[in-house]
Amino acid sequence: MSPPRLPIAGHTASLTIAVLFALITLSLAEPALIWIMLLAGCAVMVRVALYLGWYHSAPSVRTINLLAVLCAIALAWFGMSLGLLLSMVNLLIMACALKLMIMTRRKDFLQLFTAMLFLIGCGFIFAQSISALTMYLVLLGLALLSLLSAFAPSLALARQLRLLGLMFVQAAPIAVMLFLVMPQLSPLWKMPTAKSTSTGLSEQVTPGDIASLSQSSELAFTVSFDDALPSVAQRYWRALTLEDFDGKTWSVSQIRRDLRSQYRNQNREFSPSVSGVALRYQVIAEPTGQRWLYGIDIAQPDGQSNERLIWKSHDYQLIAREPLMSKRAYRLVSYPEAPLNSGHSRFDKTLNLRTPDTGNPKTQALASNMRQRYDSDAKYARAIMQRFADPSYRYTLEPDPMQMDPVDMFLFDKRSGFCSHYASAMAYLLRLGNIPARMVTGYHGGEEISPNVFTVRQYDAHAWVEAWLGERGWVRFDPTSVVAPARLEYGLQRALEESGETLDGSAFDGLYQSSGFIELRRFFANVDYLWSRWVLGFDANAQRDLFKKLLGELSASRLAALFVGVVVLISILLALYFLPDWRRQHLPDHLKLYLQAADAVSAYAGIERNTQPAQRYFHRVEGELPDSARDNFSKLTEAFIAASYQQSPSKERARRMKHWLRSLKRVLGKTKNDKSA
Amino acid sequence: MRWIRHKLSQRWQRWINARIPPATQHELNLKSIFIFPSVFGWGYLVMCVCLFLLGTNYQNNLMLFLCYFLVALMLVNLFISYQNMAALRVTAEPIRSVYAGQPATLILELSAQNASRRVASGLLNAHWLSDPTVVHNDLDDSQWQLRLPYFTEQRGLKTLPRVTLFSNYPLGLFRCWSHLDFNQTLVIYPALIPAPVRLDSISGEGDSPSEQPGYDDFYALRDYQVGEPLQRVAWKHVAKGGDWVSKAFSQQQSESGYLQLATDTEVETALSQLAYQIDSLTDKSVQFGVRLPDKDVPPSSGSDHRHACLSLLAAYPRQKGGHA
Repeated sequence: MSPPRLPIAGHTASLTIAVLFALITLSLAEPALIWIMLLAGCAVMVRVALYLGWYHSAPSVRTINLLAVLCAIALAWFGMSLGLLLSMVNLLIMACALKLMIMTRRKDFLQLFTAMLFLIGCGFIFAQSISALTMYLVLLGLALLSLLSAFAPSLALARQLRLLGLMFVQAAPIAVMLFLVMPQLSPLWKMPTAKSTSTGLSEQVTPGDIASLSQSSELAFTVSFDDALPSVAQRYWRALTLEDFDGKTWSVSQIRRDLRSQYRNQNREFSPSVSGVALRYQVIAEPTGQRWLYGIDIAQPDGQSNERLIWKSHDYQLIAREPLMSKRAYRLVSYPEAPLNSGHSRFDKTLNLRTPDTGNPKTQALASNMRQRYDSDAKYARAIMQRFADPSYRYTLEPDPMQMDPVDMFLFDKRSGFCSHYASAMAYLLRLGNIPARMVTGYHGGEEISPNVFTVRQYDAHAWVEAWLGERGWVRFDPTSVVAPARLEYGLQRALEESGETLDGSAFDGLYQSSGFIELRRFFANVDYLWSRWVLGFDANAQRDLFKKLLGELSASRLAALFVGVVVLISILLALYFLPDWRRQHLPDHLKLYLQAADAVSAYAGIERNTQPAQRYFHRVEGELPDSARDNFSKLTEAFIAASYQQSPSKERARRMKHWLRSLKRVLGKTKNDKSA
Repeated sequence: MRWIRHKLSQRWQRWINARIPPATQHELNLKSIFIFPSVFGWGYLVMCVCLFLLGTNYQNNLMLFLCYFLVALMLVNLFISYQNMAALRVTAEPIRSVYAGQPATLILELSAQNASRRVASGLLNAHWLSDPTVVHNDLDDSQWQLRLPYFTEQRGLKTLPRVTLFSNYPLGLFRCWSHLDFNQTLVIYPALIPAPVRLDSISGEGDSPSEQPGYDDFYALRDYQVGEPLQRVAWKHVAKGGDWVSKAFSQQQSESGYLQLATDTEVETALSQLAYQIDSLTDKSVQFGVRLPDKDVPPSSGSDHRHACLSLLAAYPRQKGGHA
């Protein structure tokens, strides 16, 4: 045991762990409460003040206990709205902060270190990118540095860093092997999840309320197709089906929700009939804190494990069993050509014909007027689409707000809006025309970052309409496609350019558009995708695939052999690291050169040096050597003695010694040949 | 219960004596080094298990990777920790005798076993096997001498117990230790109790002790000879700038005799008084011998003679029922 009481002023290990704590708290800024962070800041300042010697004793335990009680009460109060997970993280940070203030014993230091490691682990709940991993590895290095300086306080910093670097390099391959072969278990029990601020889509769409749509370029999900790609016109990623309309807002119908949970209890899953071309692909969804998933109609989970994790709802929506708290990879198979005509048509029809009794009088009049002109449902729908093709309708991301009778206002006054305005108006018109219709939200399009791999970002969010047309079932109508065809074909940017708007104008627009930058962006998107797919998405299935690739088939004996093999491999690695003979001996240059010279001389003269001092050995053998060789060996001996005992060895001397050694060897070799001849 | 403990301790002693035999120099190796996770190391492992559970429950691969990385780090540490310790050579300097009640110091010289290999780093700690008081040594701070105090109470010949050396380098996850016996016997002289010098003449064996006054009477100054005790240099003279001269005493060689154990006082006290007399006679470079009921040392002088005499006192059998 090193001293159980730590020195206070000038104790590097304490300061390092304080700095580490500050950095970890900053990295957890998202989940941490602001006052907890302030508390952490205070604790770090206390430590810094103690290090610099402004104070000579840490705050008393009594003070800190009082503070702890107050903080605990405050945290309990805030914790009610935070949820269990965030409360726990905050509690841990708080406890560390308080411990840091009263850290006086070695035990406190070690406890704090362990808590820091755990906090680093918690950091991965909130961030899993490559940069996050790099950052946390650096923080881990800092943590180990503080630990090392507690156990080897006067080791020079450079040597501490070298030792740590060596340890990291040695541990990494072992860790990777363990990661690959340790069984990937399914969750043992349900953990509290963070109440995240959901990004992206929402379960309610009120077109009139939104003055401007968020133009976030945040990633929504990444898709990689196995072989066949969907055509551009097929890239409609359904997320939510909104079936309830109150005159202003479209939302997920409560009746639908109740039905879903009822079916789930009865375990009656939707199984639509499918036909036509099948597309197989993997989706890596970014965390949303929600349960809906993205898929091209008609999407079905691919493989058993996906089936277990995904529930198919009767409105063709895919629902995850657990909310997406972190990145989630799942595989789907889609049949884009299959008609959406399965399901409970009666129930669906009734649900999707409901309109509010009052409001939007002009639209109601328009609908009855049009209905009289077009008796067939398909013609009626086409007529609506035709109406939007009129140039007076404009696509914009910054429409005026429409509060009263929003559909009326949109169709007759403003005539400008984005996808959900058009989708809302069309679905309403269809319902008024006695055609079951609903709004579907999701994403459209995507950017191909490498062959068969697409990223879909938040600005690809889209809304469209589905109408029930008899035999054909639910048919997709996208009014936006007639208003702004470029939106669908080339994406949002082009559509906005045509309507004279720009996406989030910034000084970097030129840069952003340059081909080099786009390449770079694609490269990073691709790296991120590969990371998500192979590292974050490495699960029990991927592990089984890996084992299959390695072993051929998965029999118990082969698996056992694999595990034994890994253990052997780790032992071999450790042997390579630590068996002394294997490592090259780090002899200084002058010693190496002298030893070579002495070997050559002893081979020539037949007199072993053993452990004789260099000078004495020279006198032993000088009689046996030819003149020039004696001269060289004398110089070598002198240089060796000078380098060992008088001055630090220099490059110049080593160079000269090398020269002498060469000529010594040459002379000895020649003389020996002459003699034998 | 006590009997079992005694038996176990005996067995352990036999085992450790066979495994690490006593020697003044130890090169630490596989046989003499023990290694086991420290309390902190176990805590670290528990934390790894927690990370594993957290990572599994959140299906979070990075957390799992962190957990495996920490485990791998601990595995690597096992070897680094051992190698660091196994680079050490520990040599004991012969321990200097002390008077009872004074602390003796065992000086351990630490060095690298192999000059071309790296030397050990980190904090090296030592304590007596039976006594948990720890002495720390920072090897990176060039503290290559470890001074371990040994507290004495009674006179006697004491075989020093084993020394426990341990190190938690590099990360404190493992405790690497060894119990070394440096084969040292500490001679603890009796504590000093002042008493007048009573020197029996050689001839007068059995005679009543006669006073020997005047043995330190000043006789003359003569030139200082190299090798003479410094205490005889006439410093006053030297300080005045004079030549080095030493004081000669009358009767210096003339009187010599034996010191004997006083019979009228308690044995331990008598031994202490005898020790005092030995010291004062040695200081005055008087030739004397010591005669105890069982053994004696023939008259002589000098520090070796003093050590021989005092050792005789230290080894004198303890009286039954007598107190220290």
